Amino acid sequence: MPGTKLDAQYFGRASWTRRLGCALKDLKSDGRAGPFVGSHVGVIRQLLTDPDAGPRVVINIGAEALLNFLATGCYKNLYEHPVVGGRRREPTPERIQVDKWLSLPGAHRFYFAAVALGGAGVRFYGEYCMVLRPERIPPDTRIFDRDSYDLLQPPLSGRGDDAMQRLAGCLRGTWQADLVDMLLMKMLPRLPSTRHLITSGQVSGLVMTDQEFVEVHLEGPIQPSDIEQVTQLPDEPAMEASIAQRQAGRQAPSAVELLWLKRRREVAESLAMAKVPHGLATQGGRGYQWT
Amino acid sequence: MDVNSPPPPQGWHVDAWSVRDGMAFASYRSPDAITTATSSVFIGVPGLDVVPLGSVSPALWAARASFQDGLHDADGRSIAFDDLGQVRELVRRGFLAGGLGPGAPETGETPRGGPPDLPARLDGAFRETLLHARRMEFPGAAGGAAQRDEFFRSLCEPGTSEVVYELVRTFALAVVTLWRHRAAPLHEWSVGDAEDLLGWTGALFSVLWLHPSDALEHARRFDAELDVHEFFHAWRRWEYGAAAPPNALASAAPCPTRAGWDRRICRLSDKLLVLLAMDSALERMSDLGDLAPAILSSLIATRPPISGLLPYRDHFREHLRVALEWLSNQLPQRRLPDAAEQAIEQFVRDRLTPAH
Repeated sequence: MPGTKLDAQYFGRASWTRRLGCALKDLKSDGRAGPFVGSHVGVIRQLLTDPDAGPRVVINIGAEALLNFLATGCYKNLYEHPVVGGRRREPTPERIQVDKWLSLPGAHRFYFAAVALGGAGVRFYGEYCMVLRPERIPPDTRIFDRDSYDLLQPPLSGRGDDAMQRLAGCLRGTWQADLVDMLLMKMLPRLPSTRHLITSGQVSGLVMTDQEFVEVHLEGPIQPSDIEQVTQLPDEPAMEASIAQRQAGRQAPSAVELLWLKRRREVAESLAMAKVPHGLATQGGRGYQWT
Repeated sequence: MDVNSPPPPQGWHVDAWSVRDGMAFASYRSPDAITTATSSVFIGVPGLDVVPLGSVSPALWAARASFQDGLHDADGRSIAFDDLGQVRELVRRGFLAGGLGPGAPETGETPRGGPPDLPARLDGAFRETLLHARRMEFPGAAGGAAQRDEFFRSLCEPGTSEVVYELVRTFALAVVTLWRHRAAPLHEWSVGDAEDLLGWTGALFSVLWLHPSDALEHARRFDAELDVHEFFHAWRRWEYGAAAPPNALASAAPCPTRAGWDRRICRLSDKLLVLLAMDSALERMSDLGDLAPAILSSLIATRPPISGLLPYRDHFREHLRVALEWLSNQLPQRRLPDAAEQAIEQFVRDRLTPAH
């Protein structure tokens, strides 16, 4: 079954720089650009190329996994984890398929991460967001414009194997050469109104929205010394305070809450001991960016 | 595939699970094809709320990070759950089981040791107390929550609550004895460890309505070399509110063992966590003495309803009722599919195996 027809410009084979150039030109020529687009792009480019406050590679991780990482110095990917229950006989067909389309040489050596500009990453993957030092990211590190498993979902799915591999190739890039143009290309349709200049908080939200992000295929291993800082959303400390408030009102926390509080205390102590900066991030990413 | 064979049954399946971090992705689908999912959700501690997701991509991605890839039986087949309530229960009990054992490597193991004949003395003291108790039948999982609640209510009745008090007090003093039996004097402990001991001991007096002099007298049955000044110090700190309320699952309090108990259990909290994680743990108990560690932890988790500085036993009965109600609510609430129960039991056993 042939796949749904996709936007030829975005899903084309040209470099991300060329794709962006063409997209901007088209916007101007057909009058959709508005007077602010050029300035928006200028602001975004400035924010994304700032060496101190620019985009970072982030990995979300749970408390227990973070404690083990700090203690053993070993961040584990899927292939290295002990398993509860029986083992699947073989990797999922979905994983085999997507890894093949991504043309990853030796998938077990790669650690999947995301690009963020401030914020606290994707909460679903763990309450702690490890921000990696920029110098840890080799310039030729591979990036992918979305969660690569979206290749299995319509409208991208439903093409032949060769077509999927070509499509995956179109959505790929490298950290130094393509990140800014790839991000700009993703942001273009979502740029704000034509009356105000875009802000850094809005840009942060456009770099990563919910679980929509640019994927990074980082060749391992990752070590605690690679962590620039650990951030988290204010939600967790708010939950801690809420539990403490209930406790003060003689309402006992559940066993799960007690264990959760214990782990959080251990993480705070371990991060302090490892001298890893640990802070809160607002969702917009303003005011708490990599300082 | 034979075109005449029936399609595999749909059900809730775990797509990705971070067991010890208490997070999981699940979807409603056939066992073998995650992309057939018609509904996909995320469940995570501490609230264990069910968050709907638009697709299974986040679940697949999570398995590339620190999540395990689904939950399978011994033959590698994905385990089906009847509803999301069962999946929540799995995540909850897996998380609690993850709190067992030596924990993260940097926390170290609780030092063992103590008087070598402590288990025998504890057994002897329990036996003496249990002579005055009626025989208790521990409720099985099949009896459901109602039977279990009835059992816990019966422990608060006059006549039985006094037996429970004696058992818990005996056990609590054995904990302090074992804890204080470390080689180094208290002033050589780290501040954190000393705070933990003093805070916990203070709470102990409070929840057991125990005066330090009373505690010292009872501790003599273990030949404990307890320092009266330390006990009073702990008590006064609690009295004046200087000690933070202890987290019943965070303390390094050691677990004295009876003759028949699993000697791999090092911490008091482990004894509670085994009970909370394994569906069959309660019905496997042989007498009320086996339940003493969990009751003690529950008393500390719930704290007394009023300031606990006066030795009024009636207040203990009221606190016991609150603590047992709490304990009942933390115990397994739903029976999981057999393969999932076995996976949890195996995980508990693995967590208790000392690291070599």
